[in-house]
Amino acid sequence: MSTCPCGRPAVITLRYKHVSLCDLCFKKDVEERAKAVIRSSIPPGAKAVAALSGGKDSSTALYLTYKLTRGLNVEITPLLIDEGISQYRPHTVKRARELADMLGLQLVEVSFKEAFGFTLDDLDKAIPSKAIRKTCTYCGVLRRRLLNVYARKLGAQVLVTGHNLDDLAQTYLMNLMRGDLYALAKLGPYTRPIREKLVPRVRPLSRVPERESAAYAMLAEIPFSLAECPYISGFRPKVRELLNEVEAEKPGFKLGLVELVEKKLIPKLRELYRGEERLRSCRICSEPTTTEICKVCEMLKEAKELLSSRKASD
Amino acid sequence: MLIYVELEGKRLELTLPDGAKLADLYKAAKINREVYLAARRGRLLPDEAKLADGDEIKMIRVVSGG
Repeated sequence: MSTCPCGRPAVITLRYKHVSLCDLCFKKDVEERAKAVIRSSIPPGAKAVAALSGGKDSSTALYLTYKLTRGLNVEITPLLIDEGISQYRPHTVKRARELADMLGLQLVEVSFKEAFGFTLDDLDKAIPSKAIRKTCTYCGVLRRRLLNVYARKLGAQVLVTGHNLDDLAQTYLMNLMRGDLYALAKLGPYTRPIREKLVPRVRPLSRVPERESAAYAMLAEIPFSLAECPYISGFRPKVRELLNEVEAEKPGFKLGLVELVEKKLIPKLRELYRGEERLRSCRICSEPTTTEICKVCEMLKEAKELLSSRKASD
Repeated sequence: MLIYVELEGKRLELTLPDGAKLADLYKAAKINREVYLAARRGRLLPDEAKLADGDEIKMIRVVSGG
């Protein structure tokens, strides 16, 4: 059995760091990375809302935020968005409730059904198989809206999310491939609010690869679910596969990409777009948007049309 | 030596040379180690973990999300 530099049996290999670590040293290593993010973005006494799905990443992010802000008087509220995916969400909701109970935190649950009047399962059935916009696209946009609106309602100064290093590498690469530099300029660590209606995001796992987020959750015995959403589709899974293939050949590629984009590219892009404030209020819902009508209102209109035409054909 | 691998709900049998390590298993079974964590008897394993004849290795898929 290989050993950790501390002499204990190793449990995981971090190829990009050329080291194998024991459970204790690995957890400490992940915590150091998360602490650097948390301590620089969540001030003492702050109110934080943590997006919690019950999956490994949001569960690990909440647990680390709780653990690493102890003694700093930070008030944490976990927020769960139930999209209404019968094959998937009940498993993860159960784990999210267990984790909230374990940490003694009050979980706030909001559903698509109560917020928008339909579940994601309803919408999926109404979307024609040849439609360009798939279920996953609607879900992402609508879920992000609810997270921001409820974080604001709960008085949060920051919204903690479970985005890990892999998620960031995928997002940056996708934006580069699409040539969407304006979108890239808005990303990066601790995105400050452009308008007060947008709650800034904190990503404690921004330097933690996906497999390490799962390993941490297992080793720290955090309740979480590894269930996979049945509606995953689109460009992201392809980019994920591509990045994982490259990472297997060249360990450290994802970290290198994320650091390059955040340290070299995003600051230049923010300079480039400074003063080019394109954000305004949506004509329908008054939420911040870069267009006259926001993506959420556009998608809700489409969704309602799809749902009523399905109802009419039934 | 014979190693049993649980992967995506399937049980594979893999013959590896004596003294093989987990890294050799990844290579032989063409498993991308970015996508899985390997466990033996419920304990996670590093790449250099030596395997033994009859070992049962569970590959835990860790990639998820939309």
